[in-house]
Amino acid sequence: MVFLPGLEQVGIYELPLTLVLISIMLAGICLGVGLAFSSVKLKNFGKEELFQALVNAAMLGALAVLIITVDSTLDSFVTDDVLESCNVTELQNSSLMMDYVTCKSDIYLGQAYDVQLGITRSTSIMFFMGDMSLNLGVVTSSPFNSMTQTAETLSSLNQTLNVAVMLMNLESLLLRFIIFICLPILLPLGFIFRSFFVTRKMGAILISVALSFYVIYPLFLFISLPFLDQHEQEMDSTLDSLNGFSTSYSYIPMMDMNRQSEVINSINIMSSSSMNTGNIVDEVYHLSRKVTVAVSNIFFYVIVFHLLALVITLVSIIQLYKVLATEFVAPVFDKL
Amino acid sequence: MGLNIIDSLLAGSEFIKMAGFSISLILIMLGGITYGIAQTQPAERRGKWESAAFGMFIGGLVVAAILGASEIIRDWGRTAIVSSNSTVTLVD
Repeated sequence: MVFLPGLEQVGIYELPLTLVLISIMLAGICLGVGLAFSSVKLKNFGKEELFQALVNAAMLGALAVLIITVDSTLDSFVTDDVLESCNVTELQNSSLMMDYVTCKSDIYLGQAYDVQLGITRSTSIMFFMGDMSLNLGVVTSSPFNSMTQTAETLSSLNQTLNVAVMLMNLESLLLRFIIFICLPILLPLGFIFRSFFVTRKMGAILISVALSFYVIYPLFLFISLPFLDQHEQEMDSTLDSLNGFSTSYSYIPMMDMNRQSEVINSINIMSSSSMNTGNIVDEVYHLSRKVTVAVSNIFFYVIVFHLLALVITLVSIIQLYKVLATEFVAPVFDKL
Repeated sequence: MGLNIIDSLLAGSEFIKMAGFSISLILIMLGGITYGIAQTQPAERRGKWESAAFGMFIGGLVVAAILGASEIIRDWGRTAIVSSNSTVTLVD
Protein backbone atom coordinates (compact mmCIF):
# COMPACT_ATOMS: atom_id res chain seq x y z
CA MET A 1 0.00 0.00 0.00
CA VAL A 2 1.42 3.33 -1.01
CA PHE A 3 0.35 5.42 1.94
CA LEU A 4 2.20 8.56 0.93
CA PRO A 5 3.10 8.21 -2.73
CA GLY A 6 6.59 9.35 -3.63
CA LEU A 7 7.65 10.19 -0.12
CA GLU A 8 9.05 7.95 2.55
CA GLN A 9 8.33 7.77 6.24
CA VAL A 10 7.07 11.13 7.48
CA GLY A 11 6.65 12.38 3.91
CA ILE A 12 4.26 15.20 3.25
CA TYR A 13 3.09 15.12 6.88
CA GLU A 14 6.39 16.81 7.69
CA LEU A 15 4.90 20.00 6.29
CA PRO A 16 1.87 20.27 8.62
CA LEU A 17 4.06 19.01 11.46
CA THR A 18 6.56 21.83 10.92
CA LEU A 19 3.75 24.35 10.59
CA VAL A 20 2.23 23.17 13.85
CA LEU A 21 5.64 23.55 15.45
CA ILE A 22 6.02 27.09 14.09
CA SER A 23 2.52 28.10 15.19
CA ILE A 24 3.14 26.72 18.70
CA MET A 25 6.41 28.65 18.94
CA LEU A 26 4.90 31.90 17.63
CA ALA A 27 1.91 31.55 19.94
CA GLY A 28 4.27 30.87 22.85
CA ILE A 29 6.32 33.97 22.07
CA CYS A 30 3.14 36.10 21.80
CA LEU A 31 1.83 34.71 25.08
CA GLY A 32 5.15 35.21 26.87
CA VAL A 33 5.69 38.75 25.58
CA GLY A 34 2.03 39.59 26.32
CA LEU A 35 2.49 38.36 29.89
CA ALA A 36 5.79 40.22 30.27
CA PHE A 37 4.46 43.58 29.16
CA SER A 38 0.89 43.11 30.43
CA SER A 39 -0.58 43.38 26.92
CA VAL A 40 -4.02 41.78 27.20
CA LYS A 41 -4.56 41.66 23.44
CA LEU A 42 -1.23 39.97 22.72
CA LYS A 43 -1.70 37.61 25.64
CA ASN A 44 -5.19 36.56 24.52
CA PHE A 45 -4.07 36.14 20.92
CA GLY A 46 -1.16 34.00 22.08
CA LYS A 47 -3.41 31.94 24.33
CA GLU A 48 -5.95 31.27 21.60
CA GLU A 49 -3.37 30.47 18.96
CA LEU A 50 -1.46 28.23 21.34
CA PHE A 51 -4.55 26.21 22.09
CA GLN A 52 -5.48 25.92 18.42
CA ALA A 53 -1.92 24.86 17.60
CA LEU A 54 -2.06 22.23 20.33
CA VAL A 55 -5.38 20.99 18.95
CA ASN A 56 -3.78 20.77 15.50
CA ALA A 57 -0.82 18.89 16.93
CA ALA A 58 -3.15 16.48 18.68
CA MET A 59 -5.18 16.02 15.50
CA LEU A 60 -2.07 15.41 13.48
CA GLY A 61 -0.81 12.88 16.00
CA ALA A 62 -4.24 11.24 16.00
CA LEU A 63 -4.18 11.16 12.21
CA ALA A 64 -1.63 8.38 12.15
CA VAL A 65 -3.78 6.27 14.45
CA LEU A 66 -6.91 7.30 12.56
CA ILE A 67 -5.55 6.13 9.22
CA ILE A 68 -4.76 2.68 10.58
CA THR A 69 -8.06 2.49 12.44
CA VAL A 70 -10.10 3.63 9.46
CA ASP A 71 -8.32 1.31 7.03
CA SER A 72 -8.50 -1.72 9.31
CA THR A 73 -12.12 -0.99 10.26
CA LEU A 74 -13.13 -0.63 6.65
CA ASP A 75 -11.13 -3.71 5.69
CA SER A 76 -12.77 -5.77 8.42
CA PHE A 77 -16.08 -5.46 6.56
CA VAL A 78 -14.57 -7.08 3.49
CA THR A 79 -14.58 -10.81 4.19
CA ASP A 80 -12.99 -13.51 2.03
CA ASP A 81 -16.28 -14.73 0.56
CA VAL A 82 -17.11 -11.16 -0.43
CA LEU A 83 -13.73 -10.83 -2.10
CA GLU A 84 -14.35 -13.94 -4.16
CA SER A 85 -16.96 -12.08 -6.17
CA CYS A 86 -14.33 -9.57 -7.16
CA ASN A 87 -10.77 -10.18 -8.24
CA VAL A 88 -9.21 -8.13 -5.46
CA THR A 89 -6.47 -10.31 -4.07
CA GLU A 90 -4.16 -7.59 -2.94
CA LEU A 91 -4.36 -3.90 -2.23
CA GLN A 92 -4.08 -1.87 -5.39
CA ASN A 93 -4.23 1.72 -4.30
CA SER A 94 -5.92 2.25 -0.99
CA SER A 95 -7.87 0.30 1.60
CA LEU A 96 -9.30 -3.09 0.76
CA MET A 97 -12.81 -1.67 0.89
CA MET A 98 -12.02 1.11 -1.55
CA ASP A 99 -10.44 -1.39 -3.93
CA TYR A 100 -13.42 -3.70 -3.56
CA VAL A 101 -15.98 -0.94 -4.15
CA THR A 102 -13.99 0.33 -7.15
CA CYS A 103 -13.74 -3.19 -8.55
CA LYS A 104 -17.48 -3.82 -8.10
CA SER A 105 -18.34 -0.47 -9.64
CA ASP A 106 -16.18 -1.39 -12.65
CA ILE A 107 -17.96 -4.74 -12.95
CA TYR A 108 -21.38 -3.04 -12.97
CA LEU A 109 -20.09 -0.54 -15.48
CA GLY A 110 -18.87 -3.40 -17.68
CA GLN A 111 -22.25 -5.11 -17.41
CA ALA A 112 -24.01 -1.88 -18.33
CA TYR A 113 -21.76 -1.55 -21.40
CA ASP A 114 -22.58 -5.16 -22.37
CA VAL A 115 -26.31 -4.51 -22.01
CA GLN A 116 -25.91 -1.40 -24.16
CA LEU A 117 -24.09 -3.38 -26.82
CA GLY A 118 -26.68 -6.15 -26.69
CA ILE A 119 -29.55 -3.67 -27.04
CA THR A 120 -27.85 -1.96 -29.97
CA ARG A 121 -27.32 -5.27 -31.79
CA SER A 122 -30.84 -6.50 -31.07
CA THR A 123 -32.53 -3.24 -32.09
CA SER A 124 -30.65 -3.10 -35.37
CA ILE A 125 -31.93 -6.62 -36.17
CA MET A 126 -35.45 -5.66 -35.04
CA PHE A 127 -35.47 -2.53 -37.20
CA PHE A 128 -34.42 -4.68 -40.14
CA MET A 129 -37.15 -7.21 -39.38
CA GLY A 130 -39.73 -4.46 -39.12
CA ASP A 131 -38.79 -3.16 -42.56
CA MET A 132 -38.94 -6.59 -44.16
CA SER A 133 -41.80 -6.93 -46.62
CA LEU A 134 -43.07 -9.74 -48.78
CA ASN A 135 -44.34 -9.07 -52.24
CA LEU A 136 -47.09 -11.59 -52.85
CA GLY A 137 -48.10 -10.33 -56.23
CA VAL A 138 -51.42 -8.69 -55.40
CA VAL A 139 -50.55 -7.58 -51.87
CA THR A 140 -47.38 -6.58 -50.04
CA SER A 141 -47.10 -7.80 -46.46
CA SER A 142 -44.82 -6.66 -43.64
CA PRO A 143 -45.35 -9.48 -41.13
CA PHE A 144 -42.98 -8.11 -38.50
CA ASN A 145 -43.80 -4.44 -38.74
CA SER A 146 -44.56 -4.39 -35.00
CA MET A 147 -40.85 -5.03 -34.40
CA THR A 148 -40.17 -1.41 -35.29
CA GLN A 149 -42.22 -0.26 -32.31
CA THR A 150 -40.38 -2.60 -29.91
CA ALA A 151 -37.06 -1.55 -31.42
CA GLU A 152 -37.97 2.10 -30.82
CA THR A 153 -38.88 1.32 -27.21
CA LEU A 154 -35.58 -0.49 -26.72
CA SER A 155 -33.72 2.37 -28.39
CA SER A 156 -35.23 4.86 -25.99
CA LEU A 157 -34.26 2.54 -23.11
CA ASN A 158 -30.76 2.48 -24.54
CA GLN A 159 -30.65 6.26 -24.49
CA THR A 160 -31.73 6.20 -20.85
CA LEU A 161 -29.05 3.61 -20.19
CA ASN A 162 -26.53 5.98 -21.77
CA VAL A 163 -27.25 8.51 -19.03
CA ALA A 164 -26.87 5.80 -16.39
CA VAL A 165 -23.57 4.64 -17.90
CA MET A 166 -22.32 8.20 -17.93
CA LEU A 167 -23.23 8.55 -14.24
CA MET A 168 -21.56 5.21 -13.47
CA ASN A 169 -18.43 6.43 -15.23
CA LEU A 170 -18.54 9.58 -13.14
CA GLU A 171 -18.91 7.46 -10.02
CA SER A 172 -15.93 5.36 -11.04
CA LEU A 173 -13.90 8.53 -11.58
CA LEU A 174 -15.06 9.88 -8.21
CA LEU A 175 -13.86 6.71 -6.46
CA ARG A 176 -10.45 7.04 -8.12
CA PHE A 177 -10.38 10.73 -7.20
CA ILE A 178 -11.06 9.78 -3.58
CA ILE A 179 -8.28 7.19 -3.57
CA PHE A 180 -5.64 9.45 -5.09
CA ILE A 181 -6.65 12.85 -3.74
CA CYS A 182 -8.54 12.66 -0.46
CA LEU A 183 -6.16 11.01 1.96
CA PRO A 184 -2.74 11.72 0.46
CA ILE A 185 -3.38 15.35 -0.53
CA LEU A 186 -6.55 16.91 0.92
CA LEU A 187 -5.99 15.75 4.49
CA PRO A 188 -2.44 17.11 4.92
CA LEU A 189 -3.48 20.30 3.11
CA GLY A 190 -6.39 20.62 5.51
CA PHE A 191 -4.03 20.38 8.46
CA ILE A 192 -1.76 23.01 6.93
CA PHE A 193 -4.64 25.44 6.40
CA ARG A 194 -6.12 24.71 9.81
CA SER A 195 -2.85 25.78 11.41
CA PHE A 196 -3.41 29.41 10.50
CA PHE A 197 -5.99 31.71 12.00
CA VAL A 198 -7.05 33.14 8.62
CA THR A 199 -7.43 29.80 6.79
CA ARG A 200 -8.77 27.76 9.70
CA LYS A 201 -12.23 27.28 8.17
CA MET A 202 -10.79 26.31 4.81
CA GLY A 203 -8.60 23.74 6.51
CA ALA A 204 -11.61 22.42 8.40
CA ILE A 205 -13.60 21.93 5.19
CA LEU A 206 -10.67 20.15 3.51
CA ILE A 207 -10.28 17.76 6.45
CA SER A 208 -14.06 17.13 6.53
CA VAL A 209 -14.19 16.46 2.78
CA ALA A 210 -11.19 14.12 2.92
CA LEU A 211 -12.46 12.08 5.87
CA SER A 212 -16.11 11.92 4.75
CA PHE A 213 -15.29 10.87 1.21
CA TYR A 214 -12.74 8.32 2.38
CA VAL A 215 -14.92 6.76 5.06
CA ILE A 216 -18.64 7.50 4.67
CA TYR A 217 -19.04 7.35 0.89
CA PRO A 218 -17.39 3.94 0.24
CA LEU A 219 -18.92 2.52 3.42
CA PHE A 220 -22.43 3.35 2.26
CA LEU A 221 -21.71 1.98 -1.21
CA PHE A 222 -20.29 -1.16 0.34
CA ILE A 223 -23.45 -1.68 2.39
CA SER A 224 -25.54 -1.35 -0.75
CA LEU A 225 -23.49 -3.85 -2.78
CA PRO A 226 -25.12 -7.07 -1.42
CA PHE A 227 -28.45 -5.76 -2.65
CA LEU A 228 -27.01 -5.42 -6.12
CA ASP A 229 -25.44 -8.88 -6.00
CA GLN A 230 -28.96 -10.29 -5.70
CA HIS A 231 -29.79 -8.70 -9.03
CA GLU A 232 -26.64 -9.90 -10.73
CA GLN A 233 -28.46 -13.01 -11.99
CA GLU A 234 -31.13 -10.83 -13.56
CA MET A 235 -28.43 -8.86 -15.33
CA ASP A 236 -26.73 -12.05 -16.52
CA SER A 237 -30.05 -13.43 -17.74
CA THR A 238 -30.75 -10.18 -19.62
CA LEU A 239 -27.31 -10.33 -21.22
CA ASP A 240 -27.87 -13.98 -22.18
CA SER A 241 -31.24 -13.14 -23.74
CA LEU A 242 -29.81 -10.20 -25.66
CA ASN A 243 -26.85 -12.24 -26.88
CA GLY A 244 -29.13 -15.17 -27.71
CA PHE A 245 -31.44 -12.95 -29.71
CA SER A 246 -28.67 -11.32 -31.70
CA THR A 247 -26.97 -14.69 -32.30
CA SER A 248 -30.20 -16.37 -33.41
CA TYR A 249 -31.24 -13.66 -35.81
CA SER A 250 -27.96 -12.09 -36.86
CA TYR A 251 -28.25 -13.91 -40.20
CA ILE A 252 -31.41 -11.96 -41.13
CA PRO A 253 -29.75 -8.67 -42.21
CA MET A 254 -27.30 -10.74 -44.28
CA MET A 255 -30.02 -12.76 -46.00
CA ASP A 256 -30.33 -12.78 -49.76
CA MET A 257 -33.63 -10.97 -50.13
CA ASN A 258 -33.91 -11.88 -53.79
CA ARG A 259 -34.47 -15.48 -52.82
CA GLN A 260 -38.11 -15.47 -51.83
CA SER A 261 -37.93 -19.00 -50.43
CA GLU A 262 -35.21 -18.05 -48.01
CA VAL A 263 -37.27 -15.13 -46.75
CA ILE A 264 -40.36 -17.26 -46.33
CA ASN A 265 -38.32 -19.89 -44.50
CA SER A 266 -37.01 -17.25 -42.11
CA ILE A 267 -40.48 -15.92 -41.49
CA ASN A 268 -41.62 -19.44 -40.71
CA ILE A 269 -38.79 -19.86 -38.22
CA MET A 270 -39.61 -16.53 -36.57
CA SER A 271 -43.31 -17.30 -36.40
CA SER A 272 -42.81 -20.70 -34.85
CA SER A 273 -41.03 -21.74 -31.74
CA SER A 274 -37.59 -20.28 -31.26
CA MET A 275 -35.23 -20.10 -28.30
CA ASN A 276 -37.81 -22.07 -26.31
CA THR A 277 -39.88 -18.97 -25.65
CA GLY A 278 -42.62 -19.30 -28.23
CA ASN A 279 -42.75 -17.18 -31.36
CA ILE A 280 -40.64 -14.13 -31.97
CA VAL A 281 -43.27 -11.72 -30.63
CA ASP A 282 -43.22 -13.49 -27.27
CA GLU A 283 -39.47 -13.59 -27.38
CA VAL A 284 -39.17 -9.88 -28.08
CA TYR A 285 -41.70 -9.14 -25.34
CA HIS A 286 -39.66 -11.11 -22.79
CA LEU A 287 -36.48 -9.49 -24.03
CA SER A 288 -37.98 -6.03 -23.72
CA ARG A 289 -39.21 -6.81 -20.20
CA LYS A 290 -35.79 -8.07 -19.13
CA VAL A 291 -34.06 -5.02 -20.58
CA THR A 292 -36.49 -2.73 -18.75
CA VAL A 293 -35.75 -4.52 -15.46
CA ALA A 294 -32.00 -4.36 -16.10
CA VAL A 295 -32.10 -0.64 -16.92
CA SER A 296 -34.21 0.09 -13.84
CA ASN A 297 -31.73 -1.91 -11.70
CA ILE A 298 -28.82 0.08 -13.09
CA PHE A 299 -30.70 3.32 -12.51
CA PHE A 300 -31.60 2.29 -8.99
CA TYR A 301 -27.93 1.65 -8.29
CA VAL A 302 -26.77 4.89 -9.88
CA ILE A 303 -29.49 7.23 -8.66
CA VAL A 304 -30.69 5.88 -5.33
CA PHE A 305 -27.50 4.45 -3.87
CA HIS A 306 -25.12 7.05 -5.14
CA LEU A 307 -27.39 9.97 -4.50
CA LEU A 308 -28.10 8.72 -1.01
CA ALA A 309 -24.39 8.05 -0.42
CA LEU A 310 -23.56 11.56 -1.65
CA VAL A 311 -26.26 13.15 0.53
CA ILE A 312 -25.05 11.27 3.61
CA THR A 313 -21.46 12.23 2.78
CA LEU A 314 -22.53 15.85 2.41
CA VAL A 315 -24.26 15.78 5.80
CA SER A 316 -21.16 14.23 7.30
CA ILE A 317 -18.98 16.95 5.72
CA ILE A 318 -21.21 19.68 7.18
CA GLN A 319 -21.24 18.11 10.64
CA LEU A 320 -17.48 17.54 10.68
CA TYR A 321 -16.89 21.04 9.36
CA LYS A 322 -18.98 22.51 12.16
CA VAL A 323 -16.85 20.70 14.71
CA LEU A 324 -13.47 21.36 13.11
CA ALA A 325 -14.09 25.00 12.18
CA THR A 326 -14.98 25.87 15.77
CA GLU A 327 -12.36 27.64 17.81
CA PHE A 328 -11.68 25.13 20.54
CA VAL A 329 -11.47 26.70 23.97
CA ALA A 330 -10.16 25.22 27.17
CA PRO A 331 -11.15 26.85 30.49
CA VAL A 332 -7.67 26.12 31.85
CA PHE A 333 -6.20 28.51 29.28
CA ASP A 334 -8.30 31.38 30.61
CA LYS A 335 -6.34 31.15 33.85
CA LEU A 336 -3.05 31.90 32.11
CA MET B 1 9.78 21.46 -4.75
CA GLY B 2 7.86 20.01 -1.81
CA LEU B 3 11.06 19.12 0.00
CA ASN B 4 12.44 22.64 -0.59
CA ILE B 5 9.38 24.08 1.13
CA ILE B 6 9.89 21.70 4.03
CA ASP B 7 13.58 22.65 4.21
CA SER B 8 12.70 26.37 4.17
CA LEU B 9 10.07 25.85 6.84
CA LEU B 10 12.47 23.85 8.97
CA ALA B 11 15.04 26.66 8.61
CA GLY B 12 12.27 29.13 9.52
CA SER B 13 11.31 27.11 12.56
CA GLU B 14 14.96 26.96 13.66
CA PHE B 15 15.17 30.75 13.33
CA ILE B 16 11.96 31.23 15.34
CA LYS B 17 13.26 28.81 17.96
CA MET B 18 16.52 30.72 18.30
CA ALA B 19 14.66 34.04 18.35
CA GLY B 20 12.23 32.68 20.91
CA PHE B 21 14.97 31.43 23.21
CA SER B 22 16.74 34.80 22.85
CA ILE B 23 13.50 36.61 23.73
CA SER B 24 13.05 34.28 26.67
CA LEU B 25 16.59 34.95 27.87
CA ILE B 26 16.17 38.71 27.40
CA LEU B 27 12.87 38.68 29.28
CA ILE B 28 14.33 36.70 32.18
CA MET B 29 17.34 39.00 32.35
CA LEU B 30 15.17 42.08 31.98
CA GLY B 31 12.96 40.71 34.77
CA GLY B 32 16.00 40.31 36.98
CA ILE B 33 17.25 43.82 36.18
CA THR B 34 13.77 45.29 36.76
CA TYR B 35 13.56 43.42 40.06
CA GLY B 36 16.91 44.85 41.01
CA ILE B 37 15.80 48.36 40.07
CA ALA B 38 12.60 47.78 42.06
CA GLN B 39 14.69 47.38 45.20
CA THR B 40 16.11 50.85 44.68
CA GLN B 41 12.67 52.40 44.47
CA PRO B 42 10.73 53.87 47.39
CA ALA B 43 8.26 51.50 49.06
CA GLU B 44 5.13 53.03 47.47
CA ARG B 45 6.47 52.45 43.92
CA ARG B 46 8.38 49.25 44.52
CA GLY B 47 5.33 46.99 44.14
CA LYS B 48 4.63 48.24 40.64
CA TRP B 49 8.22 47.61 39.54
CA GLU B 50 8.25 44.22 41.19
CA SER B 51 5.06 43.07 39.50
CA ALA B 52 6.49 44.19 36.15
CA ALA B 53 9.67 42.24 36.91
CA PHE B 54 7.70 39.11 37.84
CA GLY B 55 5.66 39.49 34.69
CA MET B 56 8.81 39.58 32.56
CA PHE B 57 10.33 36.67 34.41
CA ILE B 58 7.19 34.53 34.06
CA GLY B 59 6.81 35.63 30.41
CA GLY B 60 10.38 34.50 29.72
CA LEU B 61 9.77 31.17 31.42
CA VAL B 62 6.50 30.64 29.48
CA VAL B 63 8.24 31.34 26.16
CA ALA B 64 11.08 28.93 27.02
CA ALA B 65 8.68 26.25 28.25
CA ILE B 66 6.45 26.44 25.18
CA LEU B 67 9.40 26.42 22.78
CA GLY B 68 10.85 23.40 24.51
CA ALA B 69 7.50 21.62 24.55
CA SER B 70 6.91 22.34 20.86
CA GLU B 71 10.03 20.35 19.99
CA ILE B 72 8.79 17.42 22.03
CA ILE B 73 5.34 17.62 20.41
CA ARG B 74 6.92 17.56 16.95
CA ASP B 75 9.13 14.60 17.82
CA TRP B 76 6.15 12.68 19.19
CA GLY B 77 4.15 13.48 16.06
CA ARG B 78 7.00 12.27 13.86
CA THR B 79 7.36 9.06 15.83
CA ALA B 80 3.61 8.42 15.64
CA ILE B 81 3.47 8.97 11.89
CA VAL B 82 6.58 6.94 11.17
CA SER B 83 5.35 4.06 13.33
CA SER B 84 1.91 4.19 11.69
CA ASN B 85 3.56 4.02 8.27
CA SER B 86 5.63 1.04 9.24
CA THR B 87 2.55 -0.69 10.68
CA VAL B 88 0.64 -0.13 7.45
CA THR B 89 3.55 -1.52 5.46
CA LEU B 90 3.66 -4.60 7.67
CA VAL B 91 -0.07 -5.20 7.13
CA ASP B 92 0.56 -5.21 3.40
